[in-house]
Amino acid sequence: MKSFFRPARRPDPAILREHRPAIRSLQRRGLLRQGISLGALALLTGCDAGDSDAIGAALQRFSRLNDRVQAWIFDPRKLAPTYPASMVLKPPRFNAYYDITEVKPVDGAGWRLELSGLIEDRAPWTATRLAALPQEEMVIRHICVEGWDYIGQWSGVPLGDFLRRIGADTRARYVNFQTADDYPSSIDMATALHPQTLLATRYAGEELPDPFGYPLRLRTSTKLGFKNPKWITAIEVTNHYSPGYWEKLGFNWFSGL
Amino acid sequence: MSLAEAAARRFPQPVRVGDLLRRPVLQPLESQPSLGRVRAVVRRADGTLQVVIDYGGILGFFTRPIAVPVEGLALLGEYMVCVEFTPGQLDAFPDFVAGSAAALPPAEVIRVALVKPSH
Repeated sequence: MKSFFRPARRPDPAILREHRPAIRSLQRRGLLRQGISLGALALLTGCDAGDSDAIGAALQRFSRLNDRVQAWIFDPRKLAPTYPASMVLKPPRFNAYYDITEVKPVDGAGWRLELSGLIEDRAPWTATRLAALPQEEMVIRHICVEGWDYIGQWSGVPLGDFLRRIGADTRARYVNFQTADDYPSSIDMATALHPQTLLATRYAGEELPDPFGYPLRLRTSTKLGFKNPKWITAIEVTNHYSPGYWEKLGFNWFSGL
Repeated sequence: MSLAEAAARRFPQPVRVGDLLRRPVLQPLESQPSLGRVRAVVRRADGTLQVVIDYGGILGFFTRPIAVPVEGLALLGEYMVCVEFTPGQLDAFPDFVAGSAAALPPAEVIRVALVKPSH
């Protein structure tokens, strides 16, 4: 069937013949443009643009460069904004890589914090022993990589104080965490020693509820939310990089704010 | 599984009634469409709690109040999410009649289940 949009009178084919050189030129320019774009991509990544693994590896190299730049500009003395207690969201917002119904509460009485790596005193800690240490409280904004945020009130032991107390080598590069929900994570030592990085045990003055990491979680004001592991069971101080749950899936490791 | 049993698996947390008022109520979808806003929390004569939602409408106008069992809703940060009823089911809810149940004071604390973001 003839299209309704076909003109009743066809254009004169002579027009096409007359302008053929100009049309060829336009096509050549388009090809040149595409070639330059493809070449730039190949130069940028140093790889074959048709090879997705090679592109992924190249982007990972950029991500690591990003980590180094963020670590270089990180100011360990600069504090994140704090807020009045009246702005605290109660209860806080739940998030995990699994559904709320899959949260497995940790038995606080039997829980132990295991220590390993470049630490002098590696004896495990109980919740009671941790609670006896000097505590601090901070009201800070939790910012998720997904775009949402809320203001929370966290209390606990400053991680820097804890690391010094157990004789950790604070010249080491990384502090790694293992958790009860199989969510490994690691942060840089500068962030671990930042005054607004807590081993949090309480929220809004109350014991940390089960879905938010009881009995122990990390809360740091200088990193995105996914860098705050919940239900911590072990801490390691090391010079060896160990990617966390999301870093293995391609997320940026430093993830500073 | 009953509504109460399903809600119990979502780790209900204490929350002030006053902190729930005017909260947007969302559908559990990635696009987070809004279903309405919380108007009140009421206790029926049988002791069950319901959340009165200004439901539907356009841009906050032409809404109608409906009473949804608190176990059918969950907290997502500063939002509530209707986890147990579809908009089609909510459409069939009758209008809430003011005075048919006792409104809870803002200072009263109730327990509401949690939900994770829908993505």
